[in-house]
Amino acid sequence: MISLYRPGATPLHRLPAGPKLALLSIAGVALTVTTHIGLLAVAAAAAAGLLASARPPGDLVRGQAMGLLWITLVVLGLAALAGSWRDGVIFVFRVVALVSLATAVTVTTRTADIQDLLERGLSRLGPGGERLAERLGLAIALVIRFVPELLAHAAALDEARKARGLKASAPRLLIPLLVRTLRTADAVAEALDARGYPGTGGSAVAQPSKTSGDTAA
Amino acid sequence: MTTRDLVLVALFTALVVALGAVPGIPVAALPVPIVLQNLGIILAGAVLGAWRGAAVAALLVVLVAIGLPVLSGGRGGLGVLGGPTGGFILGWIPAAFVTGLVAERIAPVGSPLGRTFLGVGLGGLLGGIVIDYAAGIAWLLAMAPNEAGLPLGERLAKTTLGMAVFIPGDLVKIALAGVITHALGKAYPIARR
Repeated sequence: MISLYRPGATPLHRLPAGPKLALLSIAGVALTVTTHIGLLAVAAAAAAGLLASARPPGDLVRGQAMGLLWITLVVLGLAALAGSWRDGVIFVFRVVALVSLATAVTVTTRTADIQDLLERGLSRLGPGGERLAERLGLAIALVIRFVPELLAHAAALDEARKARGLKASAPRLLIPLLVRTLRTADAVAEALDARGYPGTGGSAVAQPSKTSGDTAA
Repeated sequence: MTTRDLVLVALFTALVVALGAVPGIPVAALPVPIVLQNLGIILAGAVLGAWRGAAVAALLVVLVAIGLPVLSGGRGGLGVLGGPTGGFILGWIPAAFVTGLVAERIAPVGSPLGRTFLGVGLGGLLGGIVIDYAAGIAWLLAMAPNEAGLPLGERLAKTTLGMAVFIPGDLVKIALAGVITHALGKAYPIARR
């Protein structure tokens, strides 16, 4: 799984993650309360320019636009029914500005930097927050580690299905994939407990797994 | 939270991410193949239970926010959360929670097929459709301008009508979630939490 971050040296890349996210939040609120078409048009053009300067991957921009197509049509339809072309124009400018700005922040900020910010924020909430931050770090690492594995397993299951001449169906794919996911989770949990991985905690009260009677903690 | 809870949540989240990348599956009753990602969210609640199911959805939101392309079609990043469809993604957190809660109340793990189907079905309807659509539509209406001064009730009704094209697909997914949860309860039963 490759991050949406794109390395570069634009001013947006150099701005630290904290201020960037703060500015984005302020811009988000401002764009949502403004109904001035001229201002919104300028904002949309500026945000799109900013995003273009960060050189986002083409796939990302296309995917983002496709994901918004239907909802935009619904809002435009609503505006047309109400006989208010202004509503439609405001919505389109607002969405272009907001989504471009937010995507520009994602493309110019390292995944690790946003994660750090999040974990530091959680740590400030006291010992409970600190534990949560540690667990979040571990959970994110596990997801990144296991997505390719589950995708490979899904592909293998699909091959096996084709070899048997069966039609694609959700249960046929999902049941074995879920069993693999749960079984792997039990094995990984046991391995983490056995090694006393810091941050997981509660190993002494871990539920005995189905596959073997005792944990090695 | 035990180590096992944490790892189950992480790996289930990995599964939901993987489901966003596998091609859609054709269903006889529907004109377009169904995307499996939000079926994964319903399953998270139905299989893992309310708390861990909600944790799966929350972890997914964090992954989107830190800029990983974890949503179907390779989408991700702050643009998705901040955009007009962001409410549907954030709504997955209470959706998975409610699905798990209702499924557990009506059909504890190991219930017969009919009962599991009913429990996961009602939970999925309430969580995956009522709550997720409410969150998504509320978010959308907060972002859509209303210079024409339409009354809220009318905007709500018309927007819901516009989003209703997705409901048949969601109903199929909820039915599938019931069948899959039952089969999994026999193949690899785990207690809901």
